[in-house]
Amino acid sequence: MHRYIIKRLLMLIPVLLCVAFIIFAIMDVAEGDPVYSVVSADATEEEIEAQREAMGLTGSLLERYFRYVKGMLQGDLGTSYVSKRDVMETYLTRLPNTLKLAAVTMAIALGISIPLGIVAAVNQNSIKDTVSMILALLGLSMPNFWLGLLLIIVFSLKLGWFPSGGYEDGVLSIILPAFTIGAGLAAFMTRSTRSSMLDVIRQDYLRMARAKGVSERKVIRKHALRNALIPIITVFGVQFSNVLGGSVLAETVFAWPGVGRLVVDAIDQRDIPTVTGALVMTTMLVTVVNLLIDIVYAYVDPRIKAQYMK
Amino acid sequence: MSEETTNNLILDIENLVVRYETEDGIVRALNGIDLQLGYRQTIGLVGETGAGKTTAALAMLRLVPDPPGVVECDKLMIGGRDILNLPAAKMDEVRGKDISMIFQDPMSALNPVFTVGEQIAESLQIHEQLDKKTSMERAKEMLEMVGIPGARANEYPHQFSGGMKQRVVIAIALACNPKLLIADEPTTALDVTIQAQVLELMNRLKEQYDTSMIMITHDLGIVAEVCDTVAVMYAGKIVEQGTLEDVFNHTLHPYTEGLFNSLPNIKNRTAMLKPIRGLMPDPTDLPAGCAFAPRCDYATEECKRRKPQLKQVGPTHKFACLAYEQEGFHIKRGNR
Repeated sequence: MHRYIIKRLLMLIPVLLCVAFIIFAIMDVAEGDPVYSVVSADATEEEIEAQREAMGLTGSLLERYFRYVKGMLQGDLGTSYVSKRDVMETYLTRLPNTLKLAAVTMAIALGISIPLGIVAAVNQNSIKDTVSMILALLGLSMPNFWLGLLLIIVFSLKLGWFPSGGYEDGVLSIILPAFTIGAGLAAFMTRSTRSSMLDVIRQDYLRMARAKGVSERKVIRKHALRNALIPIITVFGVQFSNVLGGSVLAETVFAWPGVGRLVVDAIDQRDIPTVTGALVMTTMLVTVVNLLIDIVYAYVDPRIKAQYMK
Repeated sequence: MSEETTNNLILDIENLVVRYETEDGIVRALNGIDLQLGYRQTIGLVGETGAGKTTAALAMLRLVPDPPGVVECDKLMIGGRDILNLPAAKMDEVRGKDISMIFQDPMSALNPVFTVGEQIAESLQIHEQLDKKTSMERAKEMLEMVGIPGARANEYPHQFSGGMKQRVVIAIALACNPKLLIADEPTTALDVTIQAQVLELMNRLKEQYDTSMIMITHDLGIVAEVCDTVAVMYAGKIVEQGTLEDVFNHTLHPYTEGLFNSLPNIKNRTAMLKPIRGLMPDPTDLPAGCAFAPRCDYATEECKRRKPQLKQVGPTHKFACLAYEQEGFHIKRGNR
């Protein structure tokens, strides 16, 4: 198992290098000459050239890439064209906000979807199942920003329970944005929990457990759920990765200073080092989350663990 | 039946009816069976796939899935205790302790995410309130008893072969020393070489634990090997019942005869197998008369109109066939 983890960690390095190159190349193709967004309109040819040198824009794509990677490996992601601040530093001030929001979002999504999906599967084709699936459909089809606005109208403007935006009120200020993002995720995960449980629920080993005298409650929660978890964890991992990249709409509606808005603002301002740096860091987080998910698989299902050992 | 005789029975069922009410129609899986079994006795339930054998077993454990299953019964007693109307929590105490079941396919009967030790220990934790450590110790002893090294208790089902898995299933079923064990085709999914081993093991443990057993099978050879009495089932009904001597040597029912005829003949290896022609009737649309009549060589017009009732012909022998109402009727097989 340790060997597997080390192997996976080592595999992270080429993945990151490739991703960095792709982002770097796309930014190079998509962009005109970034120098003109910095120098004043009446700058001389020499001034522009000097500025280009200062911004590290000289040399071929590969030369610039290797220079960037060298910096990246030392934790240097360059300096923002706009704010002139260190990109890594800016990213790290935004990251905790995104992590907090992501954690609460996923907790809400899990807390809603697992029980709802189980109830739907256990009572397949009954009224409980139908209601759960209607709720899930609602959650899936409701646009994020619209749900966010509704929540603000009801819970901040009318009832005054939660702030309408910003992050100054601690836990209280996370609830609404987290619920806004979490509702859609919960809807999706409810459906995967339901279908996964339905696959498991007719298995012989559940009948065997009942024949041993295991109570119905325990049959579902212990014997069935554990076997239904793998697809649920997969969906969870994908969604968690998405949330880590930032949720631009929700962050915008709730004025939440997360990574998503950092990237979008940087794209608006053609702030290439910030875009590249934030994307590289997000990639790294996502690959680490994937690794963690794969490790969790092994603990949930011994057959997968046996495969890792090979 | 009087109180006294009831108390001498581990299992006493009267008029058990199970139907599955599906959108495509009502599947009549069991159409009124009576079954009595004495302590330390083994009865074989024999019949083709779809005869209702497994449904009968599930009904005894009250595990028929509802919906769509509907169970009706005049009497369902295990060891003198009426379990027909027990509340769910009480029923959990009966399952695994008083009555226990071995399932047909050991490949799918074990939960893939728990070790075999945990799965054996779980019964002990439920019924004997043992803690984790003691129950694991006992689980290892159980494994040893079915011929698996105790050290393998910490392994998962996928690390065992089919025959080994069935041994584990047997260990789980016997962990709490049940009074009645239902074995649902316990050897069907196994290689022929392993079948004999598993049967021998079950026979030995049955003696050792004084367990009564219901052996569900379509294999008359297994019945001959492990059972005291046998009930032949067809389309959710018992058509012939008696001791091995009654049913094997004084066969009366044409369906039982058909089962024997379809066995390969060891003495004459070139002989063709004689299968019973046709198929089991559709359980959503059973014939008005005898369910076997459409496949029966002896069927009369009367058979197609009237349902036969079980008739007692000897102290232990019962059968249900209308053809015998004709004077001098007998099946070709005759006494052997």
